[in-house]
Amino acid sequence: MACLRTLFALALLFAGGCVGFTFERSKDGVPEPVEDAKALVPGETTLADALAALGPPDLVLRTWNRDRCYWVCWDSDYFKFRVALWYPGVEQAASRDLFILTDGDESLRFARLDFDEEGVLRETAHVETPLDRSGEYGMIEDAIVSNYLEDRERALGVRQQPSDEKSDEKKGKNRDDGDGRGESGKNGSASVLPDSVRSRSGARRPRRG
Amino acid sequence: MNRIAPLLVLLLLPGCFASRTIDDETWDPGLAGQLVVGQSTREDVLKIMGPPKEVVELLDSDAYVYEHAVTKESGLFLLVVNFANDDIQYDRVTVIVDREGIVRGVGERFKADTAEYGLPFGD
Repeated sequence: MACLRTLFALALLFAGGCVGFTFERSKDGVPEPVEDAKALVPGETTLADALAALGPPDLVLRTWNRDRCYWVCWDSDYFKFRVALWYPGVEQAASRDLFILTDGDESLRFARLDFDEEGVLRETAHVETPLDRSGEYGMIEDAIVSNYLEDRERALGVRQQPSDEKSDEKKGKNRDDGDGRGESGKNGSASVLPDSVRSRSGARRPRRG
Repeated sequence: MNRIAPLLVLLLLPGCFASRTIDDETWDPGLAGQLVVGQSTREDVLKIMGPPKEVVELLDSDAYVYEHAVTKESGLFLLVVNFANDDIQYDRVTVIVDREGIVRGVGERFKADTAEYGLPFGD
């Protein structure tokens, strides 16, 4: 019996590096603005009203004829089972994942508001779906969610601009591609900030307290 | 039980971690309140709030985005069973400035302090 216990303890000890069950939870943002956005009225609410009512958006960008704002709250739970193979006898520790089983669910909630050139709300979209996640990209089937992910990529500068936009840029325009999805930020920064404050690392913001 | 408790603590402590990541400095919550929609100018924004993290060019205005993020991560590793939790929250101010340089909207939220350590159980 004692031998079995020792073997079990040793098995646990050695299996720790090769086999693992992981429970992960991740929380990003707050849900209140997403709820409050439902009260805004297209044709009446302005961008200034929305900012005052909901606070700052998590993502703001320009599409070809709209200013678009997102308020986002993203929670996720994962369960992962991983089996890895360790390579002994090499200078640095090395391992290879042989098998990863991932399951869990995500709750992605966001409100998308589109404003016209005058800053009047023209269109709203809400996503509030607890998404059971059986595959790595299961949730991207939703078109609005897909649009959001693409908008976010553009805002982060990850997604390349479409080729037809390059010709617009040559003409001096700085517009989007017309597919209803925009670009953000970086284009604007050079034109409106004086040199003294353009570099964030070079100048300091007043500290709290 | 009195003997087991310290042993359990000794056993579990080496597998614990907690970390906090801070992205950029925060600012006084009262600062954005000094901006008056329709009156304050772009220069006022920069003078009061400092340089923004990002300036987003919109159709007929610019959005000055100020952001401070706090991420709190914690975990527990028990040989073959691991638990991990992360929570990211933001202090954020967005100021809309029109082409004439006048502030047209201000939104602010301060939630970075609400980021919490924890384990992936419960609410």
